Amino acid sequence: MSRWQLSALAGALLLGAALTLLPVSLGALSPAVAVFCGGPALFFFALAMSRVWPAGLWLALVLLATEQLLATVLSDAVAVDAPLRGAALLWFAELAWLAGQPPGLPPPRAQLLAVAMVGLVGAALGWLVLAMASVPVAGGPGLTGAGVVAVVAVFAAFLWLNRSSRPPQADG
Amino acid sequence: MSRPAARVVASRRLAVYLGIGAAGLLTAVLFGRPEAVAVVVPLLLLPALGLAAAGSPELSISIGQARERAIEGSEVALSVSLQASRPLWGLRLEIRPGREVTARPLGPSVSELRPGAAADLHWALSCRRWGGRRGGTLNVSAQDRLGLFSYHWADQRLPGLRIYPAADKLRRLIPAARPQMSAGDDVSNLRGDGIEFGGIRQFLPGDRVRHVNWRATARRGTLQVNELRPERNADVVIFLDTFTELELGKENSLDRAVRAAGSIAGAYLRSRDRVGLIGFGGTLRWLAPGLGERQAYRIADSLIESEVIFSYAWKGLEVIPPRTLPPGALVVAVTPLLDERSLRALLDLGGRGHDLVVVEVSPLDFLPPAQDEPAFLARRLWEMERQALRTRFVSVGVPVVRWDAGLPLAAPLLAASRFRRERRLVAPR
Repeated sequence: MSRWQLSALAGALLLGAALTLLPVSLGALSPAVAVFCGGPALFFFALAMSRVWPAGLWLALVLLATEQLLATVLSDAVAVDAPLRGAALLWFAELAWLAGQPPGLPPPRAQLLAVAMVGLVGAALGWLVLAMASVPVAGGPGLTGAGVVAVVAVFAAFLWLNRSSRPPQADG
Repeated sequence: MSRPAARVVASRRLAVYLGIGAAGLLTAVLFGRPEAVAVVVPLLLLPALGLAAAGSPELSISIGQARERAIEGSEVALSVSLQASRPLWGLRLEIRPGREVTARPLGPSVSELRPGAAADLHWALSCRRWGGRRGGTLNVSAQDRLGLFSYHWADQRLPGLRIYPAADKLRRLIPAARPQMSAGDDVSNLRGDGIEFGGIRQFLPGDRVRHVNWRATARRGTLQVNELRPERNADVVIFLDTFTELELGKENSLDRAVRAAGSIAGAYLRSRDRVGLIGFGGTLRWLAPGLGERQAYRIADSLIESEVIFSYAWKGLEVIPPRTLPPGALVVAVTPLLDERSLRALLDLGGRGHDLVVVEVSPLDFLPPAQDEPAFLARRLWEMERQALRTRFVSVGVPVVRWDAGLPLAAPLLAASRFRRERRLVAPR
């Protein structure tokens, strides 16, 4: 593992630990739930980084995302820090993925910069969503329908990508 | 140069981001919490950017191979030139050079490809074993800048490679008993114009004065002349037994037989003899005797196609085309002396008066050592049977020379030459 990969690994570890502990420290989540989601997430992260089970990284990401979503659902107050947690989730995933790349590659500065920018822009968009949600406009079938359409569109994209990433079947 | 279409594969990372994004949106709709959307927005933004920038890049692949023919144990340079229409990262090239050939990268690898710029990569293909090889394949893969999509150009064909068996250097060959009429390097048993001294006899009318041996004339008191032997070429047929093969570890009896056949054929061709080939086995292959470089390539091409094909069919000399075995040809059989069909054919050849030499590729080298007393006894009995078989060949005037592992091929050929000289089958040298 090269030096920049070690730095990426350290960054991912810090972000993973922060994502595990932040909802508990803010009182949005009980420690039991954090341990139930964050603990295994860090364990799978360790498995992925030690190359025992590289695909464990994605399970770790799913578990951390589940913890953040649970924190938003179970919290009574508006989670103003949610966009920041979203950005941290993206940075965690990207840094961990870069740390797990084969050694010998040059440091991907452009990619790191792009990911940092995407995280910040994503957080800004998240705050925009929260700001729009706080506007006192009555909801209705139209807005709910738009939400459902967005969910269906993302699911469709997910299924299409899953299909296209399958290896081709052998002839005969 | 080829421009194959790329297979675009979305990374698992992309699918995971979209899956989490969809779960966040669903949570927001179901629980009425917009914060869930805020959590997943960055994870949805990256795939959105990746999908917007995704496309199928064009890649020009140019493959060059220094040679199509190589000698076993040698290396052949392979170069691959790549040129892409858009930037590619994480470039990986995987060479699958085919059976018994290994690829060793030369020079640094390239991980990035800028649009318009060509990247040249080089490998050395090591030819480990003889054979006619179909070209291997080259797999190229790369990814986009964010690593969300990977592009694959699989199974690009590499040029074929014909690997000829490595030949031993043979300085002395088995002389033919009945050379042909064309000029060559073999000393004939006949007397006539030539350089080699053949004997002294009394002067007869018509003898040239330049052939008078004055020293012998002075000693005997009558005119004596030198007899000379003409140098002629010979017809040589290599008889390769491909009925059976034995293996022990990486060693194979057919490999050794093919190398021996190639070495013998090459050496005779270099001494201006006509050389033919009979591959006698499950399938019959033959080449009528011929001269020169072209025949050398024909024989080498035929030899590298040699393989043991299992067959129950009985075969004798009658299946061999008569023109493949010209009268007076020296037949050099390379065989492990194991299959009854080839034994019968060889005994038949010897019995019919063909000038035959058997080079036995010793099967003993391919047997594991006997572990216990019964195995030891069985092996001894088998060796005695083989000795009896050799005696049968010798009784019809056919020398059988054993070629053991570790010995140069010249050793059994020398033994065969000695046998034939002692039996006065060939002119003494």
